[in-house]
Amino acid sequence: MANILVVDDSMTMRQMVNFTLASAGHTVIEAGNTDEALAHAQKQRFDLVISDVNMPGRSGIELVAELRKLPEYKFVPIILLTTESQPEMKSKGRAVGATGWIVKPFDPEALLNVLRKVLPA
Amino acid sequence: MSVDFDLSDGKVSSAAAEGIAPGSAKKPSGNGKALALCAVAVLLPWAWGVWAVPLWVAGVSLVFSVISLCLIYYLMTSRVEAVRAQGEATHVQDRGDAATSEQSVVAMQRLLASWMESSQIAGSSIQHARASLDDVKQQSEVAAANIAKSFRVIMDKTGQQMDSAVKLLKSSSGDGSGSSAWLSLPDFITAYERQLDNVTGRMMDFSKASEEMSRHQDVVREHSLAIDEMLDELRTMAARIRKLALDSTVAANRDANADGRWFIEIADRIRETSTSAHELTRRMRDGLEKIREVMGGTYEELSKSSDNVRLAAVQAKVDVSQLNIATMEKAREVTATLEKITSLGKDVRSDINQIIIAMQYQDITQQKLEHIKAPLLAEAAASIENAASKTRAAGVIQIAKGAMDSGEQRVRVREDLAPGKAQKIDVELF
Repeated sequence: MANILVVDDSMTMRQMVNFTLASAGHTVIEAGNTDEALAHAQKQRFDLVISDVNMPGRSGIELVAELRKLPEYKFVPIILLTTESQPEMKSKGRAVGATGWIVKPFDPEALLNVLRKVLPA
Repeated sequence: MSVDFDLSDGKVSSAAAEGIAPGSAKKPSGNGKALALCAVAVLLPWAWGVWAVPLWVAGVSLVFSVISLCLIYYLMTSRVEAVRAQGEATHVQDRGDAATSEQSVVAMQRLLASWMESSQIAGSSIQHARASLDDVKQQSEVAAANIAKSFRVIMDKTGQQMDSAVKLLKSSSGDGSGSSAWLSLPDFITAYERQLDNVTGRMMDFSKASEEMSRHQDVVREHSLAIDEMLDELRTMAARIRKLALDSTVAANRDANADGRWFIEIADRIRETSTSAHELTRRMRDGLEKIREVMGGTYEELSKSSDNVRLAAVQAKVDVSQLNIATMEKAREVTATLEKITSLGKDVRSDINQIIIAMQYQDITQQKLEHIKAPLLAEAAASIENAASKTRAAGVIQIAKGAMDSGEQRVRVREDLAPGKAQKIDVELF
């Protein structure tokens, strides 16, 4: 089972993602903003990062860019989970190195399917 | 949006700055008549009494009367001047008030327009906020209803799972009613054990019978050995008889004319041999009889044991078949119950997913409301602040107008409103 970092400024959303992933047997660490997420990422290596885009302070796009600068996160899957669905935003996410883009509200089964695809077997 | 609130052109109080109007010249009044009447009133008592008093008294009284007359004249003159000055001041104030009032009306109209604009902006913001709140309320109600519904469904399905599991446990452990067509698991194990004991017991009986047969075979072997010995003896007797026959032949050839004593001797020996042979035959018959008896008993016991084992095996087969049928039925029942529980578990999982989605909708709506709320409130606040600033400016105008009621205040207000002094007033001019 994977070690996953969930980043979202909404506690409700973090808990929903946490519940979904934990029920599938994954270990989940939560972060409320980009800085907190980067602190967690530097302390330990995660197998997957799921992040919101619109957050107070630095955005999820910036978080992806910062994570991709770290050598141990060069090939770690990073999923952006957001209410944004504009193609321009998606292009930005893809440009900074995001692995996937899920529009809220997410279906737990769909999220787990995405995880099965992006996580190494 | 700008308000040309021109307070610094000095016109507000220009008339007041001019002081008394030039056209208001001193005019002759009717004071002479009053003075004459006063003189009559003062001097008439003196004229009436001057004839009855000494001359010096009359002179002093005259002096006092003249002084009194002068004082009265002075007082009357001062009063008239005061009245005239008041009239002129009133005239100037009226002119200043008229100008100030005109500007105040314009300012008030602009202020009202500003308030109206601010009210419209604030109203629009409030309307938007109300619509957003209604939307949030509606979505929250829908989400709460969905969550409650999903929870109810989950509770129902969990209850069904519990019922199925409890029923399965009861049927597996035996409810003691004895009405069930299926054996409980402990009863099933007990029945299997009973059948196993039965078959094992029969097999033990068969083993005992086999041991008995082995013992009987030992007896038969002993009897066989005895018969072999008897056969050896018979063989010896046969050899002896052959020897007798040979001896008889030799004796017959040698003593053809003998008296026959050897016949008697041979006859005795043959009789003896015959008796031995008879005895041996009897013993052999006894041995064979015993062997037959033993073999018959053994066969009977073996047959009996075999029959018992066969019956036990047949019974065990029947019982085990029934048990197997019951077991298979029980397995099917357990499988069906487990499938039902699994299906209910999947349904519960799906309902939980619906709850997660509903809660996400609520959270997303709340975040959208947060994003809408701040700009709306900021816009409304800015609009109201703008209107409030203009209102404060209007209040200054009113203060200025009030200050014109007194000369000193008029002068101060004029100075405040003069060009170059306007920036001292806390009014944002657009």
